[in-house]
Amino acid sequence: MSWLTRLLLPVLLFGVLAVFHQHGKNRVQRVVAAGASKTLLIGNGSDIESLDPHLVTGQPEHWVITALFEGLVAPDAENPDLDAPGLASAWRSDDFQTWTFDLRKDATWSDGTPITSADYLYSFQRMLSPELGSHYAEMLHLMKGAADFHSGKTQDFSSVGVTAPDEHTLVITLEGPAPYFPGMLKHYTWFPVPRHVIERFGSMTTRDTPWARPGNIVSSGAFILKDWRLNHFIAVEKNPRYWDAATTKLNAIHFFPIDNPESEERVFLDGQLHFTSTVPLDKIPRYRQSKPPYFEQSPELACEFYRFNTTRAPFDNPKVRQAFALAIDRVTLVDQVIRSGHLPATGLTPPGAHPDYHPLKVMRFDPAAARQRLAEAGFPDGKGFRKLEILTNTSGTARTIAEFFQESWKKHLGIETTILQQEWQVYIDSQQSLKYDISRAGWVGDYADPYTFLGIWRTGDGNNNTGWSNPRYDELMLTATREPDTARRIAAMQEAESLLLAELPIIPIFWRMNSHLIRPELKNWKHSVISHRCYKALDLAPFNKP
Amino acid sequence: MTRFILQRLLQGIVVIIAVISITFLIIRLGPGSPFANERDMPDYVRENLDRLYGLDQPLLVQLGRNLWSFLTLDLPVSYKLKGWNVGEIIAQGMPVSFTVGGAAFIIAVLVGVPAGAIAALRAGKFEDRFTMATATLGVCIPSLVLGPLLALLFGLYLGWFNSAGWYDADDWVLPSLTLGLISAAAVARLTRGGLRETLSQDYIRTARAKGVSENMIVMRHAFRLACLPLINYLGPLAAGLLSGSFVTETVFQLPGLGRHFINSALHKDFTLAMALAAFFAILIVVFNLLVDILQAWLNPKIRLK
Repeated sequence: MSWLTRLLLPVLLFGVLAVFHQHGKNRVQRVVAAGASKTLLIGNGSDIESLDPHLVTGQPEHWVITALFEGLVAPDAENPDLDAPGLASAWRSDDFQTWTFDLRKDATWSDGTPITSADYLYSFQRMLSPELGSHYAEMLHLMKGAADFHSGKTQDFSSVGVTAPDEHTLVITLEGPAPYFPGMLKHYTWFPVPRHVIERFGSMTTRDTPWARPGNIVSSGAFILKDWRLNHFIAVEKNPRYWDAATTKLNAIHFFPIDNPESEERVFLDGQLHFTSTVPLDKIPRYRQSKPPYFEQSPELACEFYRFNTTRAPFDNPKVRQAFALAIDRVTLVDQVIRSGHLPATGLTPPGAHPDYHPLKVMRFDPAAARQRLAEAGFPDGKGFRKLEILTNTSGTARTIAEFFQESWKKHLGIETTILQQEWQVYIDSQQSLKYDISRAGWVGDYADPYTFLGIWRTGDGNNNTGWSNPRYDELMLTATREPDTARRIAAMQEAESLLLAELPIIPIFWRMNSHLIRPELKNWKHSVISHRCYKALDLAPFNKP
Repeated sequence: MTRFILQRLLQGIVVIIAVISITFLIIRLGPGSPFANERDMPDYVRENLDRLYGLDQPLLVQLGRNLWSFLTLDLPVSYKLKGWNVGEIIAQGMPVSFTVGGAAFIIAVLVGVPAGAIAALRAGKFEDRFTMATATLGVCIPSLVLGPLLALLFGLYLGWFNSAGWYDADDWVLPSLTLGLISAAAVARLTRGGLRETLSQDYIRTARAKGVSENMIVMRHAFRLACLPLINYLGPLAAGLLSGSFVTETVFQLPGLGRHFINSALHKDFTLAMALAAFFAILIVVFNLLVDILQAWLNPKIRLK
């Protein structure tokens, strides 16, 4: 190589890099372009399984489906936990048991077909048909006769408490009075689905048809499905035929299934998202300290807890369960180990479930009392106790919490435990078939009422999974579904929760907080304890360079 | 030759059927159900679903049904991604995985082969030590570490590329670099080894003695034979890269096949897992066949029968 080449080569290389750097550095961020076209870019957690509201159970699906579909009742723009008129313009009930809904005459599916009361009858019947095999059909069981129809005891859908006196009136009769019923209707299990589209691809109960895919699906909400690429994005566009289309401010929303919180955070900082579904758990403490304006936390109606298998000795003895619960220092766990801003749980039902329902203050840390209970149960200082297994899943802080518990029980009770981590489907199966000693669990409220947390501990409830049963508790739960007087109903639920926390088939640990990164351009974003979003109210301000 | 190819293809079909069957059995015999959900369903609903999908049948009947649907190309639906046929799912992810994997393969060869050759030709010198030290480092760094590092440096810090995502024409660069550089390390080591060994052979010494130029010796005589172990490795490498990588796809948010591989197994979505295993088996069979043909062409001593 001549000396000239040797000199020129590095110069040339450097020059190319410099030009490339200049070019790359001045790339337009995605949020800028999206802001100009009023397209909201939003992180959506893991990929969705389906857009058929009757076949899904998860939160990522909830976030997309509520943009596409609407129910009788919709989330309020100012406070999404409150109820605003949706496809029903008004509703009334004298006894909280029989509800009459006035359906909008101008409401249509996104292809222009009117939405009538017949669509609701069809949808409720589809959801409750045992042939469809919906996971979430139990949400509809408070409708009169729904459980019998769902279990196949009767094939006659007219025995279910829903009638359509005319095209624009729907009457729903419940098993008992439920003042919280309108709030429940914001859940997608109650949304009408388009019969004329579903039956183009199969019968009412055919699963696995492509009706809810782009090009086929028609919907009732503020947005319509434009495109859906697996593991990539779901694009929805403003629905011009939506009854309240004048209110919708965004032109489009793109949901990105990003199941890795680190990637989601990086993508947000790179200007590719307006909103993240979560924040990496190990970063939350730092964000809480540095408090950047784009970091937000809000309480969620969700409780993290541990289950005991009460069918297995020694957890068939309430004293043992009490000892285990008393040996847990939630404040240290939450403030010094997890450090994510969760609230140490003093009861099961989180704050915000009902304005009149005050969270119970029962759970406490008292190692001396714990040792005493254990001794009373016949295991002084943990002597004679068999080795136990803590079952947890593999995600997030599950292992950290299990290790904290392991350490606490060893230190305060002298009991040895091992930790067993199982993959999600296996872990679920182990819990449901009661193949565990102690198991990590969580519960997210479906609607704003304590019953969503308390109902699952009834004898034989599919989500009980502890083997625990108490006749008085079942009686109180029945009162909670039948009592028209709010004060008495609340009192029954408070008594039930006290009973639950005295017997302790579960140990409540903490009430969860949601964490998000939110760009300043996103306007009208409101927090909700049950993750309701009023998409039509959201807006994007012009991009400001921070 | 034709007979050899036909024979290998027939063997390949047997391998693919075996792979599908084993995948099915492993997932079905393990605990958990594709319908398991945090929210429990009543037994009568579960029984209904099992009946609907034939999961109440004996295991061998289920296996037979599934094999038949694969063999007749009447592909089943995914259990997890409701309403999606497993063929459609693969068709959506394949272009992405092929783009990223193909580019990674080219990077691996373009970086690995020259680096290995330089190391072999300057054996024991600085170039050799430096290249091999870097290659050892490359073999040791997992994509879980290199991926985020590249994303932070070229994505967030320098701003040259999107730090993740699949939108712009250049979004393949960082993931392909991640996969390519890691594979290049192994390629470099194999190239160096092959070339070193070949260069010490008698016939090379003869060529040198006859006064053939060093360039001619390396390019014409040594390299052909030195490639053989490398090519053996490149076949499965290509199949592995083209079928997607779970880690790289998660780090860079790519809608490829790699994430389906892992998720289908985790979710007990056995139809999708079977389809992906079959897809991977097809790639392996095809690339191994290509490797055999290429080796016969490079080394006259090998005859395909």
